[in-house]
Amino acid sequence: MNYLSLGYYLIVAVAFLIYYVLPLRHRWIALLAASIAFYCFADFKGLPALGWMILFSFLSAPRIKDSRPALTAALLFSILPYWFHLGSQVIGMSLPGIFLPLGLSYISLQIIAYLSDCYSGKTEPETNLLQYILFIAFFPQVVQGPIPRYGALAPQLKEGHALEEENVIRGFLRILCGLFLKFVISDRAAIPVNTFYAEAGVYTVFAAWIAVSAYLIQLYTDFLACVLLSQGVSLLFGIRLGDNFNHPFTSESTAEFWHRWHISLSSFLRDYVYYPLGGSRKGTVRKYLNIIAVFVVSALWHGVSLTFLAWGLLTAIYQIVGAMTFALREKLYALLKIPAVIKKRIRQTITAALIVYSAILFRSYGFRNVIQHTKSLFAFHALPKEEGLFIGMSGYDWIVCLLALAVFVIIQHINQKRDLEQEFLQKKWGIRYAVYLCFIVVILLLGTYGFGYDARAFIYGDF
Amino acid sequence: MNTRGNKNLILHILTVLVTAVVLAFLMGEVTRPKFYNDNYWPLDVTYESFYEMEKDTVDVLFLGSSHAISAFSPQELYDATGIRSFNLGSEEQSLLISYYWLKEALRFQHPKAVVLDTIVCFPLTETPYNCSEPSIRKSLDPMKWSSVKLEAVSAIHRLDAEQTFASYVFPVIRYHSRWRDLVPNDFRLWPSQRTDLKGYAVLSEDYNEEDYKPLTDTNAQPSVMHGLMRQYLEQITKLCKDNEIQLILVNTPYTECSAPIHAAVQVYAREQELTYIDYNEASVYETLDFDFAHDMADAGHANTSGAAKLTAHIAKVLVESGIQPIRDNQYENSRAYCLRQIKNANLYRIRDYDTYMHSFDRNDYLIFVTGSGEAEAALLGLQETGPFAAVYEEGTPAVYPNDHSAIDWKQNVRYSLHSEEKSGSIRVYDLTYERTGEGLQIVLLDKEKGYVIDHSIFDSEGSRIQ
Repeated sequence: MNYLSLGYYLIVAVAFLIYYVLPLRHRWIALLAASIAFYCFADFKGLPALGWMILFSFLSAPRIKDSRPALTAALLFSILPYWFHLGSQVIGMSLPGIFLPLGLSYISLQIIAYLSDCYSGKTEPETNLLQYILFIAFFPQVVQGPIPRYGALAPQLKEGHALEEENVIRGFLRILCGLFLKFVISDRAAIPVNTFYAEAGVYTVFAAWIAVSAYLIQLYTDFLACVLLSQGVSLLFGIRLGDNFNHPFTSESTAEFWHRWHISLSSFLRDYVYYPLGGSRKGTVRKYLNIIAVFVVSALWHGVSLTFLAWGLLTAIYQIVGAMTFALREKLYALLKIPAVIKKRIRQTITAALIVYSAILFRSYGFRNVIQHTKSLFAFHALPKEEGLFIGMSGYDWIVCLLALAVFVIIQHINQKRDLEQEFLQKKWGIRYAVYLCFIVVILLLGTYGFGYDARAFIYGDF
Repeated sequence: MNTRGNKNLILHILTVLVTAVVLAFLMGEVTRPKFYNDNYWPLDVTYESFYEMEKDTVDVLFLGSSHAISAFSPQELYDATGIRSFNLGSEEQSLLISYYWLKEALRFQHPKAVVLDTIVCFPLTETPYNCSEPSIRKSLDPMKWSSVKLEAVSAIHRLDAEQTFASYVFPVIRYHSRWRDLVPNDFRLWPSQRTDLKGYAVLSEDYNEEDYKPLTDTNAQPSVMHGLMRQYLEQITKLCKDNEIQLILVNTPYTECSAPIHAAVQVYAREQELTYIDYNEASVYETLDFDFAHDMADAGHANTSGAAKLTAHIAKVLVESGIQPIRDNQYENSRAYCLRQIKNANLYRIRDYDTYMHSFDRNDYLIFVTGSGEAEAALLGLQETGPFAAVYEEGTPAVYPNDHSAIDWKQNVRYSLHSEEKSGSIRVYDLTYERTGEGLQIVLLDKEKGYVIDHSIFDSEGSRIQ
């Protein structure tokens, strides 16, 4: 079971009914039941490990205030499955599923944040075990975030909300947007990406840049889709989860990019790694070292491999070089009298290109792959090496992908200036129906899911 | 929000959900590929016409793979014996499908005999159900929803988790990516064409290979049947016994037959006291006056003459089993249609131009012609001196020089003709028929069926060269 399966939405529907039937102060029980049901269907084997993490952190929290050794012990033992996972990746061993509960990486950060906040006194430890279970395992966000902070999420879970038309409308709209991004754009963009990365060195420069850019599109729309699905389902219960993206591709520097991309992770790293290390308060060199440390942690969190590590280091280097050369670049722009609008576009383009290139490290299996793909990006041939302009995707799919992407970009652009969701709320029901049904038809018909239809397979050949 | 507001909101939610479900159904119907008369292996139209049969009017059911569909003609069986039958075979029909279609058939009919093709008893594919996933879908999608279909879908899902229940309830989940291949026929919610062939597939062409030898070894070690197929064979046997239906196992002629396969089915038939007819067995084959090279369309499927012989043989078996002839208008009224389809299929056998052009009613066909010169024009009674193209509508020719493209709006056919001395082509819909060399090229489109049924090339003497 996952966020895209019918079974999941059956759980959501049942939870929705029970939630609003229960008295206000007991409504959290419906969420708890749904969370447990979801986890049982999604990863029953992982329940013991999840149970350990929840129980240990719950019992540790009241005992760690102002005690660093207690905090250290709590962090070590509460997220023990995560350390096992990390260790197994280092030695190249695979662990059985019982040690790797679903959402392990996200739950671990969630627990680290909770314990750290309890340690610093920012948060009072939760005293109700069942409500703590709900906080950790809240089903719309347990698998892929956004990584919640206790102070922001727990009160919403506990307090119970009245049925509000606005929440239902927003929620439903976000769910449909999420499904649209996932099925129509992201999974489609994955086709040229997988084709390109499976066979490096056979595509032209043009096709190579398209494929690596498609990877960013795939990653962004996939992740944004997950966030929208989480937010949409949560809104049905009147719960608001934070945004995880803020128009990252409008960034004018890589530093800005990481403030706009995966916001819950970057703010976690800022609050629980960067600031505790001293942030920028201990001089420039220490600041740069702290930046490196943050991205090394981020890299290892994504996966223990040399390519992830290289990605983390490269991303840190981008920021450091960017900071070091900022003044010089500003002088250059002024010297060349480049208008502000053009300067903005140049910065955005360079930032996007740097991020696109770093994504190769993120996506490749091993450095040999990285080198091959890098060569593809810059190896100009007199004639195309391979006629793979479509890079494994049909012309129809390219048209659908680009059109859908254009719609997405336009909506995002308009949304920067206007609150489209708010405007949608004010429309009559007929218009809202039409929008919902358009989404449903487009997702059902144009989504990349299930079997593809191959007419040849349906043409009888044998007997 | 107050109670009235809640009720309105719930109503809105339900309206959206219900509309979405209805849309999903409609999209499923549009995107599902339909196999009507534009295909040698009609499936949708077979099952639809089965459902239209009056209750308790089918005395014999044929089940099995395409071997069975091409071997047994219900119309010819009725014409010879008065026995009413229906051919519910389908391509690559797994015995799982045979079982569930038999069960489904028993909701409407009470046959006295079931003739079951046994080729799929043995491993043929890697899938757990011993056929391809498209074959399962093609034969199961047209089945009406009932407890039988629920059971069938559950059985398939247990074997193959990718074939989800939801994809059968909402076919759009399975076929959504067919949006780029949609044709006008997909937007009809009822079939545009009918068949009275009662499941029989009319195949033309001759195999023309001499590599077939009937079985003479009667003492071979039996092969091992496919586990799941054996299970369903037993279930079919039991279902027939419980419903007092005579089960006749058959194996139609095919080049891959073997003595161990024959032996395995024979052992089973003896254990269960069933009749087993293996048409590959020399003692049976030789009684048919069967010429594999000319009675088969390919290595495993009978053509019209082969089907006539196999049907005649099974007819005798069924008569001897005591099934009574009954006059039935469902078969009386379909005779003309079936004869015409068989005639269409046999056109390729006619080698002489005059005989060919007099073997059918020109008013029933669109006839597209290209010719390379005067001699070919003379065959048509025309006086062209160079390359020409012609279209016969309502029996009379409209002649054009070299090239002509048009749409026949009555038949909704787009075509184009191109003729030169040494080559020519006729394009109908999306298919192009080529002539390389001199000659008279003819493409026949059956107006009733709406598709091309023959492509021939005659030399200037009127002899068929292709």
